[in-house]
Amino acid sequence: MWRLGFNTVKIRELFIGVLLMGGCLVAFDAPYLASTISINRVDYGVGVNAVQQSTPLSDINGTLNQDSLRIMSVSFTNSSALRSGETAIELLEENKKQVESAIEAKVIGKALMVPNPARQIDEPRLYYVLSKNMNIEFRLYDMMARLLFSTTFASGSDGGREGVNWLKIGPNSFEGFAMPAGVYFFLLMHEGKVLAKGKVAMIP
Amino acid sequence: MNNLKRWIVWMIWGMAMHDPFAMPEYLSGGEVGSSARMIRLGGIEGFSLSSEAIFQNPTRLSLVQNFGVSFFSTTLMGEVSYLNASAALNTGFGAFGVGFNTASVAGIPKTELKTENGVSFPVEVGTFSYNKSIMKVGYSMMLSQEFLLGTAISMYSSAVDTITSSAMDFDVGLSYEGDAVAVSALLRNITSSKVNYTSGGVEQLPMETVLGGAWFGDEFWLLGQMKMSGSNSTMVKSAALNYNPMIFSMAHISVGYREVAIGKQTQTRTAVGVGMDLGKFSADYAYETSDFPEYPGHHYFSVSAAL
Repeated sequence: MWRLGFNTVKIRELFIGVLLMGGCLVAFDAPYLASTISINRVDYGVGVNAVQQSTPLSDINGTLNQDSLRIMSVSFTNSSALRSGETAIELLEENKKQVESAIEAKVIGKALMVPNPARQIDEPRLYYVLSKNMNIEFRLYDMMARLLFSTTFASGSDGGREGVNWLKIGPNSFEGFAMPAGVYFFLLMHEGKVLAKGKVAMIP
Repeated sequence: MNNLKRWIVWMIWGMAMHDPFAMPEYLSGGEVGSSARMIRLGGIEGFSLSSEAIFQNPTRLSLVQNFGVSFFSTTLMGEVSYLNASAALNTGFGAFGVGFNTASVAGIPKTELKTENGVSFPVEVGTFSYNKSIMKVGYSMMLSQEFLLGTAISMYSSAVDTITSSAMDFDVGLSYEGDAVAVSALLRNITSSKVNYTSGGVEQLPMETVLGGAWFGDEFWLLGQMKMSGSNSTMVKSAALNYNPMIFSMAHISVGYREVAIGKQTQTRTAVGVGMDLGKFSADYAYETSDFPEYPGHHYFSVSAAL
């Protein structure tokens, strides 16, 4: 029998999570599979948190249309027996980092505002696809090259997530600043490098 | 003299009584400046000697000798085509000026939302252009040897895709020209007209109050300015130092500092530049800092002539 680390983890999630973790390790680096299996012993308390997440494609309403499970954390309650388990986690994290760093940070395709031209009150959205989770700095300039707004989206959060990102430009997006009619230039930057830029026309 | 007092009271009233309307304000497109000279002097308005005065303080049209023209063009961020042209004629009945300013952007992607298999995404269905322009007609007269009065009619228009707008407003200015000191006061868009768009949207022309002073020494000039604009009444300041070496009097070297208002926020810009007075012609160059990463600074050139 499995002894769960905390009661909130359902056996079904645990089972799926361990399978996914094992799958990831097989995909990333097969030799680590053995050590992973070794932590799944009855006398080790193991907890797996898996979350449901959206696939890169979602619709304009933000409704998830394809779901998957991702392991967010693996915890062990029997601390005296964790040596091999800790190693497995470190290897897993290391593999994740290696895979992430091997992917080039870029915006796939064009970043587009829709609709364009747009009214601020209609809350147009900026669409872009990121190659991986990364910190994204969003900047907006007016026609006179004046920086109107700048913000950073953390890696993995809305705006900095691998796959499709939708950013809403609404009346409250820029601290209530009512954008005068004109052309605005947006930049998507990562670590000081411009990944994508575009222009949008606002009308009152 | 009573008239002058009335004008001064009106200027002070203008500084204090900005319209608190919350309607979106029109971005005229003329905020860059009317010449490289103006930019290298920290964006300070009201001390021009050429026909570009029509865009700054029209009072100084009276200081144009006979006939003058000015031309200024640049490209901002590699995208925005900016052009400023003006002409002025000084007659026995006062000085007249006309000016034209335009800022345009081409190749803006027109987009629509498309849905396939339950997944929505934007598609580019074409491109469109954006254009803003200002047409100005001004008049200036000398009230006395020191005091100049001027006014200008401004006609604003814009076009984006199939949507257009237009509006008209007035500027009125007063200048004092002493031996070594000059003062410039201007009220721009004094009626804060509404700008009506064919889409049904409305904006408002921001009223601006500009007060500037200058000291002209033998080799050095010092200039300063306060400008209050729009319903936010955001005040921005500018300052400039100009060096005009005696041994090479046709050259001017300057450094300027200015604040620019973005809503209630202000940002700063620094500019350096040189100017050359070549008899009837003059040419200016300015370099101004920018926050735009691919263009950390902008270069500006302008020429003017007094014929």
